[in-house]
Amino acid sequence: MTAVTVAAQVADRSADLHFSAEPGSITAVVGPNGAGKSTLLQLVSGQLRPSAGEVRLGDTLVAGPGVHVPTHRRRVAVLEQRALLFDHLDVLDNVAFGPRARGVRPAAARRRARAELDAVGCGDLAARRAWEVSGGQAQRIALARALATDPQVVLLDEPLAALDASVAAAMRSLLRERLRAEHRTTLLVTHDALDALALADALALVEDGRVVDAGPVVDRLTRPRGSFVADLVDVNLLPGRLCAPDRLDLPGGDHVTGLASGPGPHPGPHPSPGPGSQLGNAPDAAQAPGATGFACFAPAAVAVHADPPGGSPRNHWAATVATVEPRGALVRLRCVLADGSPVAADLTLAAAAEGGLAPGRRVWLVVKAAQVTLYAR
Amino acid sequence: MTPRWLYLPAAAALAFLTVPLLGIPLRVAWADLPALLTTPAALDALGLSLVTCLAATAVSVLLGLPLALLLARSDGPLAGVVRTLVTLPMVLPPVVAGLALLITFGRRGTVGAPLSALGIEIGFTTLAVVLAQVFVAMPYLITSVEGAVRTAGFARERVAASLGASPTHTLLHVTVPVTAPALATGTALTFARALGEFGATITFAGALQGVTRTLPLEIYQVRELDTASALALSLVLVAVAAVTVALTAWLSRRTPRRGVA
Repeated sequence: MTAVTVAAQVADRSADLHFSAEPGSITAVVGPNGAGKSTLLQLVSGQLRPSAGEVRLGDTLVAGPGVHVPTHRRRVAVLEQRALLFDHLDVLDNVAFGPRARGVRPAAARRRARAELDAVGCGDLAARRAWEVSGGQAQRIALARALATDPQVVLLDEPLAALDASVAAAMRSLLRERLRAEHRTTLLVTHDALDALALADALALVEDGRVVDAGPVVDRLTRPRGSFVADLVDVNLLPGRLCAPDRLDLPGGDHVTGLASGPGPHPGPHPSPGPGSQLGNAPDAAQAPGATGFACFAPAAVAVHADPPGGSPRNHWAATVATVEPRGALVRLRCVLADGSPVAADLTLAAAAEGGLAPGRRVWLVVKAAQVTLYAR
Repeated sequence: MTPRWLYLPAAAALAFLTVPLLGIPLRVAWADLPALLTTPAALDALGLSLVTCLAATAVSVLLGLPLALLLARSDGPLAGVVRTLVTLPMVLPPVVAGLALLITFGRRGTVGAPLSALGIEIGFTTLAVVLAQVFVAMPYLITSVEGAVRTAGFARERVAASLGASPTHTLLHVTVPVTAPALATGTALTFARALGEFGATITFAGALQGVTRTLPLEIYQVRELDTASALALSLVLVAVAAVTVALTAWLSRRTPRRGVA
């Protein structure tokens, strides 16, 4: 088990990445395209040399001033979107390639390869040519090939993105099984919240060449602190000032009532006696009136009314419909509040048609307080 | 969709390219072929061409392959200049190439003069034949291998490195096998170009029987005095060219498809 520590700059990509992963942990690396996720992976694998700073694998300095350990001496395995099998070798020799390259004798390397192929459920494909197997099989074989080298660190660069949904599900559980069981320190670049939740312990958000946030994956996905993660898990996120544990003031004068949610190990909105209580991510900030905080709620929790509602609902905001788009059996309404904050609402087709909801229409958005989670930054 | 009138110029092009070549087997004195190909002059030319072309091809692969591999990885302005210089001999008139070699490796050439002082003469020797062939033929190997390496991309080489393969191990066990079809095609083209080399050879090496008079030079020498021999030797060159083209076509078909995997 090897820790990964990166504190490095890459000048020509304007990246300044500070990142660390616990030994044996699996970190999901998310962020917009071109934000620097691949740069982070390439710094760890050794494909990229930092212009300043350093990269450590465990206690070993692998990149730093005057030091650059080349990729083939780092024991960092990479699994990309494409399996990239060697077409000129059969499946067994593909998996035996790593051990052979490290000087293991042919018979021993093939034994190891056979075991790894069996472990990913592809033992019966050993004699096939690499280009004869299907996409899902190829990705399994690529995983076997990567793990046959006993890597200290595994880098997964969207390994499921090119697979069909059904094949991806099987590959996802295989990855979880293999990586969890062997406690290999893993960095997983993904655009899929499900992958992050199913596979990772930690989440690192990369934006504009920086690691802007890092923390436990469940906390970061259930209590997003920025629009990128909010979009990833498909929730509405309104930033504002927490003036009470259960009340957030929005910049435009509206306010949100909800359930206070402190940082904790459990997902979902759940009431807690004191906001930000036990683990104390920022307990002072959570309690201090005026601290920056967020309101988080699902698009399905938003009801849309043509007239100001009376009575029970405690959250109602005036808004303007910006776009209306079909989304399966539902219609997604994108609205804008008085302060310009976007709020999405999912309605049934019937409800949308009945309301005559077209872009530019003034509406009232209503959300039950119990459906809103409030938390400090 | 295709206008029907295209068939007319197309047929003319096809006829123009094939009829002259078909004329050779039609005019060859097939009965005398064994005798024509075994005269001392013919045997000398055949043997010399075989030896020099094999040597030129070997040198082209040994030196050209590394240059092709390095060029494929380079994208700077310098690489562009190098690429232009390397392809220049392909379009240069061979007689100019021969002259350039003569003023470089000849007795008074920039490289030839010091060698000459040491008692080593290159001009008008069999070595000169090989140099002339390498000069005009190696670019074919370099361009075909470079193109193939670029097309294959470097993703698999990165995978090999992440699996612990040193750059040399990766070169021998990934890059070369993956580009083997292109390497074979390039080698065949190089051999064919070396076999047909005439202008640079006669300028730089002369046409001394058994020393520098290769097949094309022999054909040129006897074409008027002994048309039958010239045609017989030409048939050999046509046959070798046909085999080369067929071989490269077969190799490019055999290249494994690169699927989505």
